[in-house]
Amino acid sequence: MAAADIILTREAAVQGRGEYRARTRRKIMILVGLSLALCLSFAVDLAWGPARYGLDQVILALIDPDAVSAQVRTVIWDIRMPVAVMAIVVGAALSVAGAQMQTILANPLASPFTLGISAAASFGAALGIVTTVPIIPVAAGLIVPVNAFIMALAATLFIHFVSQVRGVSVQTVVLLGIALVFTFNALLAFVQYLASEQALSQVVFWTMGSLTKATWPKIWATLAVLLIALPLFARNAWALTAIRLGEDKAASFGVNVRYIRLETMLIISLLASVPVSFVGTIGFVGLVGPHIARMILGEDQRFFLPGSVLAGALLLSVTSIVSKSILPGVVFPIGIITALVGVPFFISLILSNVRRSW
Amino acid sequence: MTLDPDVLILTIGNKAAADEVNLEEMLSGIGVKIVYVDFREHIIDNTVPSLHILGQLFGKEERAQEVADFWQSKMDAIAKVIADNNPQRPDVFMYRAAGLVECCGTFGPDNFGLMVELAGGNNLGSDFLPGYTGSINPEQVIASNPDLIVVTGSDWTNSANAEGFVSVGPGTADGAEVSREVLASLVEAPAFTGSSAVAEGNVHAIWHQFYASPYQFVAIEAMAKWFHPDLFADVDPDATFKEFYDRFLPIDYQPGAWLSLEAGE
Repeated sequence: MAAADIILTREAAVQGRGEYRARTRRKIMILVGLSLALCLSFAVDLAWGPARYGLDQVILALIDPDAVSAQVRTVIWDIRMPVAVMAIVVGAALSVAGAQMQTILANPLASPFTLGISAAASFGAALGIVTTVPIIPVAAGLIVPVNAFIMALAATLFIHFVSQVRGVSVQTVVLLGIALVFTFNALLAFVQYLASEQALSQVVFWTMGSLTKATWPKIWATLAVLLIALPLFARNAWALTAIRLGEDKAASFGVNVRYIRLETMLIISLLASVPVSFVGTIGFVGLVGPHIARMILGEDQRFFLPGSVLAGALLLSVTSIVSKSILPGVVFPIGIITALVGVPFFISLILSNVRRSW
Repeated sequence: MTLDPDVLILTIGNKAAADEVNLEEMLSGIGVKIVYVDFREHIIDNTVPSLHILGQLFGKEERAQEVADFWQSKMDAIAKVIADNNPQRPDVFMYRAAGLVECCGTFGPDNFGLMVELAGGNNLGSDFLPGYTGSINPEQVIASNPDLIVVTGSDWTNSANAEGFVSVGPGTADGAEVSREVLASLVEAPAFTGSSAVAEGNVHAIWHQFYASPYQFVAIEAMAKWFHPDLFADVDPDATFKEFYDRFLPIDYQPGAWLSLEAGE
């Protein structure tokens, strides 16, 4: 009997290994599919706009910029390209920030938007626009993004250190984040109330989020943060996956939970605050990008991390296309459109997912 | 209220906010009347009535009539030339508050957009914007290829976050050379690549504050002259504005409310 048991277990093991491999293969295929969709969306974003150039012109402008007219070159390289690239980089950064916030705070509601980081950035920016008072001394042109960045960083670190206090549960941290949202929104309204009409319209535009302010230095800065963050997260992938099982279990596996949480939170603060300081408040992607990735790929960080990057980038890239297609000649602030594009997809995912993903 | 006024003068834009708190009822209780004027939202319909209202308030109804007549005569004169000749309307891009607003802020069918139409131009912003201001895609400016670019500017030295504005307006004539350099650098933005306006040198700047004043006729004269130099060869907006100052304003005329990229135009 004992021998038969062992044989059965072996068969089960072989079968299990096969299932695991099949599942892994399926997840890799999903990641490949997301990558292809992102490439397609990026291509459409470059090819589509009010100046109706043929596909041949666009491709020629990309391959050999000197072979096309100055107008085509400018439209493709100076107007469409920065916005299209910024959409991808910002979408990826915010999505990853939200993903890891959800991971280490063990809460599905965590995102740069819901925990008050975006609100803090908005307040910092409004302070810069209305009072032109820099929080730290910087050049005049940098006051708005630097103020936004500092406030966002302060909010993130506040959340982190409060979450470290003994006896503070993850639920409390989310409540604190919501308190931050209200605090900074009140401060923002306070500054708006004091603002001149001109400054007020600038603040309102800023808080709606817009990719039209994309420039190459901003793109490189955001990309640099992303490229520093991703390898660090990837190195901690197993530890982060283990933390999702519960901190005590992770600790029993030998994971230094405190250290991992601090490191992750510091990286998140950069990932969340840098793009927001450049493009304004884009709320939805940091919450939903990771949820989409989790629903279709599961919790394993090896797939969840790249999945979040791709889902966020794809969401914002598609939004970028939609935002310039609604009214011809007008670019809608992307913060308005993000939710409108993402929500229907998100709801359909929630409703079709019988298996609980959180 | 502590000043104990007889009348509170508000611009029409504040009416919604005032109505919300029943300001009229509240103030009439203490004997204060509200009067609304408008030099901004409906520049054609409301400017003359607003002038009359102010005349009545200050007991200078005849003087107000003179100002209104002057305004009307200048507006009619331009409208007549446009109606008689029905010229081909050049495409005009109004670059709104350059240096204060990022490219490409512009005007919809009202205010400066309407002034462009009255001056015999086709305001590009009207095709894309429903409201009276807004921003359009820089790429759309390239696609629309404007024949003329008119930048609105002012002396925004004391304004927060203003950078690279064209300083035009009363008394700025001395700084014209610097303003021209700023104007030249503004139209190097991607949105104006290869446009006929830049190629032909049809780039101008005008005082932003014409948007909320009873002086629209001066702005329209200046623009009409840019849009149709032959039709309006004998119109001299500078002389018009000076006459207005001399007859109606207590201060001396200071030129400089507009300039063209190419000096001597």
